[in-house]
Amino acid sequence: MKFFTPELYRRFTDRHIKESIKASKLWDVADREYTAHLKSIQDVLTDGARKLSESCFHDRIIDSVSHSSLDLDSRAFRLPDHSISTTTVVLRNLDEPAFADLLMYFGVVQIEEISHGIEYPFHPNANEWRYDELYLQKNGFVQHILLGNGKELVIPFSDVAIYRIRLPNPVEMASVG
Amino acid sequence: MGRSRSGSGSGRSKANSGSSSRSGTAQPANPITNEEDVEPLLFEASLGPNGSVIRGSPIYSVRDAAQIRRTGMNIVVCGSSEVRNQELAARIEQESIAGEAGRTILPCRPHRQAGPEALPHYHESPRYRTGHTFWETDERKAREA
Repeated sequence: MKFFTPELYRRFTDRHIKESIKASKLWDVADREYTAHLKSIQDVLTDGARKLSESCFHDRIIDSVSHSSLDLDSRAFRLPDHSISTTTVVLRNLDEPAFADLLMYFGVVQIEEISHGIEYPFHPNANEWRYDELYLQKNGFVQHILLGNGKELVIPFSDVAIYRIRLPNPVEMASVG
Repeated sequence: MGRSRSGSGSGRSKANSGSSSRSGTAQPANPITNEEDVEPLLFEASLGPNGSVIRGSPIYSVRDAAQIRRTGMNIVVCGSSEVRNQELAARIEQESIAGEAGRTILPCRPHRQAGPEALPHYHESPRYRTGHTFWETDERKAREA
């Protein structure tokens, strides 16, 4: 995280309110700088990456992160030999429990996980999306996500698709079963 | 719209008195004594367009505000002193999780994507319920209903 750094976040959550307010002013500066950064890369974002940059997943609970790689048969599909690796992140929202957001990142080679060694304000059980940043990198993009447990996920990708799905009602599902 | 004095039962704010410390919870540690002598006002709140927070019914005590937060509703603390607003918002959120082991409270900056009128807020962590305790800053204010 270059703009919304874990240390700045920690300062904002300082128990001394005046220190917190000082950090909040710095946070506003970081917010303006990050907005300018996003504006500077708008022209090279894919539709999916642009939608990702405009979406707010703050406080969403990360329900799962799964990775799959499908080897396509070039003869059957008439496509060049290659594999498509996909990482799917499922997010839940307490405010809208009937829905989930699916983020499908394409071309992900490996997700990096960084620990920052800062205790409070992070909570080991807080598997929540706090803040994220998007940058360009060779052959695509990379998203950094600061989680409520203090870890930072680094997801390199070539494109991304975002879906919102309505979850099945557990009561209705039970009656079907 | 009527206005209310915030406080715990007496109709006066006790934002300057601090609060007892609990293990694993966040507490404002410095009593605020040199800010403007204007007590923050408490309101139920709803969310509007552009990230705005809209004042609802007035609330007359921190205890009542904490009880409303326990039901997952939104609260907003309004006043001319950002320091006192945030301190009181922290107190409300802290009181709303009183007796709940393994919980803490977190402030969050306004979300850029939520809109230009979004307010900073507290909520508990990990989150098990909806709602927030918002507070007004020097630059960002809640809307009148």
